[in-house]
Amino acid sequence: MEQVKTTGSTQKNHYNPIRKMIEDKKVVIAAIKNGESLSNLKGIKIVNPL
Amino acid sequence: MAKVFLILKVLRLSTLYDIDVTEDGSFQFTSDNGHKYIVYFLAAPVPDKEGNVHTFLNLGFSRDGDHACNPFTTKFDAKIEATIISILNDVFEKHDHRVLIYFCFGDDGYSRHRKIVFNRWKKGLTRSIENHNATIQYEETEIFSCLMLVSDNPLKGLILDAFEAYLKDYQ
Repeated sequence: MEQVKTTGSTQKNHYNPIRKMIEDKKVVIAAIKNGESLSNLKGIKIVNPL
Repeated sequence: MAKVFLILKVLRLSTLYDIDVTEDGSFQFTSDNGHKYIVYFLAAPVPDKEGNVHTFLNLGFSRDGDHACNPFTTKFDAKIEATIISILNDVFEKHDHRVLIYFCFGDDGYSRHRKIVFNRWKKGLTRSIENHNATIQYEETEIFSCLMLVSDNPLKGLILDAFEAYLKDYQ
């Protein structure tokens, strides 16, 4: 498990991972539909967990 | 006994589609009916209140380049389900501390159908996986989310607390 310095509560930092995950998936859905390569999507990390 | 295992392994292999890993890290396979499936995982860092950062794997899959579904237009193919379950089992076997999340979008009106299918897939998982469902309002539609993690994950409490906090913050 990665350890990072605590920078405050999750509420103070306005990054909301749930929103980010939903929006990332929306971008990927559009990219696949348009036949775009997923590796060119900015700020979205596709991983191979296997 | 070894022969039995070998037979089981051959049977298992014969019930799965061959998977190709693409350059971008997604998985692809083509069904006997010629449909092309893509399964992908997006990595998302999720900080908890103690400063740990958990990597959530945001699962997605498409058929023939589309995420929308049109029920009853394609014949049921058990190998598709078995192939995707096999991928998920391998993920949890290799990364028992990871969290997997699946969002069922409702743009095409079939998010509930996807949820039912996904819940059926979960029954095929071999490890002791627990799931936590939530409904999220996104723009004009409802999204069903399903978070899955290994039951004996020692950081389960922190992960679920963080997810709940972000869920409240989001709504």
